Amino acid sequence: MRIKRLIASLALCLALPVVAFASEGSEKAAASFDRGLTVLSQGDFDSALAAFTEAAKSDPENQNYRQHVALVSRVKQVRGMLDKEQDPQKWAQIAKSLRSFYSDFDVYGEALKLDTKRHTKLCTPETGVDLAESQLELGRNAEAVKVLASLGAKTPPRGKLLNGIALARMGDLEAAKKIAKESGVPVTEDLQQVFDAACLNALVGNTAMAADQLTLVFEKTPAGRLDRVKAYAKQRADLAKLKGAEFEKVWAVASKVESSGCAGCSGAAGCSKKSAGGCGSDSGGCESGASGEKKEGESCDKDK
Amino acid sequence: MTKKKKRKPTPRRTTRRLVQLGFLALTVVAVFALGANAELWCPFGGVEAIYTYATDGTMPCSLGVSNFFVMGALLVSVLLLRRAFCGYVCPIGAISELTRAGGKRLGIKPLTVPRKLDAVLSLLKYPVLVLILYLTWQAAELIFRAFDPCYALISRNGDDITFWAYVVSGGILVGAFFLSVPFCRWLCPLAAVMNPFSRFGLTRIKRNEEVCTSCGLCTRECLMAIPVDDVKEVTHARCYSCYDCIEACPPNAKGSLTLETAFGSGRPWSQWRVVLIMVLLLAGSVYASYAWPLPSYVQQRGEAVDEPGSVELQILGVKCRGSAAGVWEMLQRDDEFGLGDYVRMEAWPKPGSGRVKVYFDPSVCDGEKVKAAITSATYDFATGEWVSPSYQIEGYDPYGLNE
Repeated sequence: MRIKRLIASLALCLALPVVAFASEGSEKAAASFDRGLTVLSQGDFDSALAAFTEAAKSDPENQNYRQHVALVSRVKQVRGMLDKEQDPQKWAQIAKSLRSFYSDFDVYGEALKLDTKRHTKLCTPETGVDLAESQLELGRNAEAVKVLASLGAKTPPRGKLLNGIALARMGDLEAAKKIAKESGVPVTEDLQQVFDAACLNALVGNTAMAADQLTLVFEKTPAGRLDRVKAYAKQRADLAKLKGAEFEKVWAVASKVESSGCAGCSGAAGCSKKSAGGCGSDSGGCESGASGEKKEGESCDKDK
Repeated sequence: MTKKKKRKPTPRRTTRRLVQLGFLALTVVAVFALGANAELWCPFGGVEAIYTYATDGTMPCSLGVSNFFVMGALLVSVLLLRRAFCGYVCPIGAISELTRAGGKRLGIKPLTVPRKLDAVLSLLKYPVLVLILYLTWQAAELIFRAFDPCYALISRNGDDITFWAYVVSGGILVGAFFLSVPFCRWLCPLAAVMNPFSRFGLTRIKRNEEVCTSCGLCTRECLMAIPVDDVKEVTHARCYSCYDCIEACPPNAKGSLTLETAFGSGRPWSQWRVVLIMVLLLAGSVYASYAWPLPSYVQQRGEAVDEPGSVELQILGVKCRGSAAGVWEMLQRDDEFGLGDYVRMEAWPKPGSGRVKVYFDPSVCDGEKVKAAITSATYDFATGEWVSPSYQIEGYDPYGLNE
């Protein structure tokens, strides 16, 4: 009996430092990872890569850290390629991929620079909306209004919502309400558009509608991304009116997106036999097809 | 009324129990101590994978070609020995019988199910089989893994076991406490596959009416509730070839029941022959799996070139069909990591890391490009999202993370 107790005590003494060491590694990794996300949003790719690398080394079991190292490494390469690319079609594709990354990681300083170039070169409604979005994220409301106004009749639904948000922030609630009323309830699979509608409705005081729209966004966001989306929504000043006690259940909404029942699958929605598509040029987004490269002297408001 | 005699262990009963325990122990040790993938050796997995392998060249989840070999061995054993697999090898059968034995020790008498009801309940396994196969083949995924008692009881993937798997397993154990192997008799989808073949099994229990005293003990002892004393030959599909009926014969009727072939000369088969055949068939299937390790995931793009180059990789994270498909998608990229018009991938997914072999046109591609394609992030224009793979290739550390 004494020997059994001795063995158990020894095992505990050996296990505790191992556990402590392991958890220390995880904590260090998490801190490095958070630091990486912060400096990345400030546009410092080198520091972000160093931080993610440190996280991955501190916690080799965590695949998420490795994925971020791979992602930022690749994006750094792609950024270098953008400046050298001469083919307008390829340039547009590279720019679109970078824009998506900047949006995902809130790197709106870089997004603004890119969007300005994109809209100047390509001058499409999509590039105009992206530029307005970057300006809004950086609080440049008046500039966003100007860009969206330049799109004229070609302003897409999302552009109208962003315009409403900008006007509401600038104090022109009447105009913003009018836009909110005209936009109604977006019937779209584009969750970003529904989110923007929620922000606009919250700003103009249609809190019930805003709450419904935000609920829809949360329900349709895959579970693996929901926390990030909620965190972003919580820090968004436009949704301040939805933070009262009566809206608690909105923030508690869970994802209703089906995830795979497959034991080996890390949450993807089903084990589809159909390929999700790779980095193929045939699957969308040839922005230069509409207007081509801007000619010297031509402005981007030719539709006015 | 004659008092029912306590069933005594006999050499044949002991032999069968030892064989069952041996296979159960082998399974448990292989899975929990040696890290084997139990799914790779399940014969029902072979049944579930037939359609997707025939149509797509892939197998659901982490099934492999070994499932086909084991399924083949099983069907041969069924044609020879009927459902001896159930009585000697199947872990669920073993656990069910042990549970019933435990119930008996506690004094819980088995519930008797009327023959007609038993016959009706026995039909349930067929719609269960059809439902499982239809949904599995539709989804190309092991949909019913969430309910599978084998997966719940004998899998190493503890964190993947769902609540319903425990409910089904619990139901089987509770049922087995009060009834004789209820899951095996009424619900097992593998039994539904075996039964049509088992009907034509080469061996059967034969009853010598001249020696038999019609005491009915054989019927009472039969695990599968077969009315042995009512028939001259037991051609029932669900016969286990367990010898329990033979052992039950009283001393004055010994020899009235024997296991023989259909067209035999009257020479009975010993139980050791049954055990030996089962062991050889299963060992043969294991050997075949290693001797002919066909990939369980195959995809190709473009026409093969005359002398393709190839690279063989051990990739951490290629543990199932889904993850192998993820690698294949990474090989479809056409950015600067593009691999040319011709690419062929063969994979052997398994828990932990799986083997992947990639063939390519050596005039436009090489092994390093393949590795970079698999591990570098890419932008998916179809979904508008960046894809950053989590695969790690053994011996390849492009980001210096293993320093």
